[in-house]
Amino acid sequence: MSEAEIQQELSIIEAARADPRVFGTLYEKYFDRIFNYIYRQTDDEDLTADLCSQTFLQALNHIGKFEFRGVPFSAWLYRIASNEVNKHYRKRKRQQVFSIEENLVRDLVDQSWDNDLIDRVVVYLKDLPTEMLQVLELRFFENKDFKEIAFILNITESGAKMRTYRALDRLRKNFNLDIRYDGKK
Amino acid sequence: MGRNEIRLRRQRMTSGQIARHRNYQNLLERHSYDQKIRRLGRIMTYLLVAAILIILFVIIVRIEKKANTKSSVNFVPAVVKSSGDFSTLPG
Repeated sequence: MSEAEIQQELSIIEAARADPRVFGTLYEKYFDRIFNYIYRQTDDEDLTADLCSQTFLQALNHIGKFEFRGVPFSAWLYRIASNEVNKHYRKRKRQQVFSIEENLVRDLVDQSWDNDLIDRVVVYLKDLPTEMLQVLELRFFENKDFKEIAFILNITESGAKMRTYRALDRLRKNFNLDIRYDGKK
Repeated sequence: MGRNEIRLRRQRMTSGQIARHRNYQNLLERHSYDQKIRRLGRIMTYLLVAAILIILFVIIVRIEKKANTKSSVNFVPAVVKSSGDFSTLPG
């Protein structure tokens, strides 16, 4: 995101503090991304719609408290969404679901992999700690940098790097892969 | 059983599928309702604090009043007996 875009967003946020209708621009811009992000962690369309709506409501209710911390506004939305998802699973005491697009997994590993190997990756992902999966999701499926990931998950940047590194290290060892931090082979 | 449940799906949700969940008007209504509730909550808190302060003030005033009446009841004026002969007084 360019400096000019960030400045433009900040001016929209400033205006939205006085008039909530202005927030509609940001709502339209980020709704799909936040929806997909939540959907990947629920695999339930109606639940996702609820959590997504709750995310934007929280953002609008607390827009006055937003302060720029060197990451785009979208990171703040992702952070609220992540908190909403965590709150949902804490309340329901259910195992967290990750619904991943097959093409994204294939992009990450190797297009030529057969279904059997993909299934093995899925089994491997099942046993990864949830925190690691969250980092991997943001890094490779949402293309977030470590600074943003750290902000979204409320951890340090080195913590985000460490989690990614450990998860990838296991993937490399188990599947003889050559994935870099940025998801490229 | 693993720690998480991983499901693979073929496609990402399309913008058209997501569009039916997009409703900014509804969000604005919920926001204005939340603001009203929050404002009401703030007013209630102020009223509660004010009521507590008034009650405390009344209690303190009553305690002080009680203390004052008690001290006035305990006060016994000293009685000085005099012989009535003031001629011996100097001057």
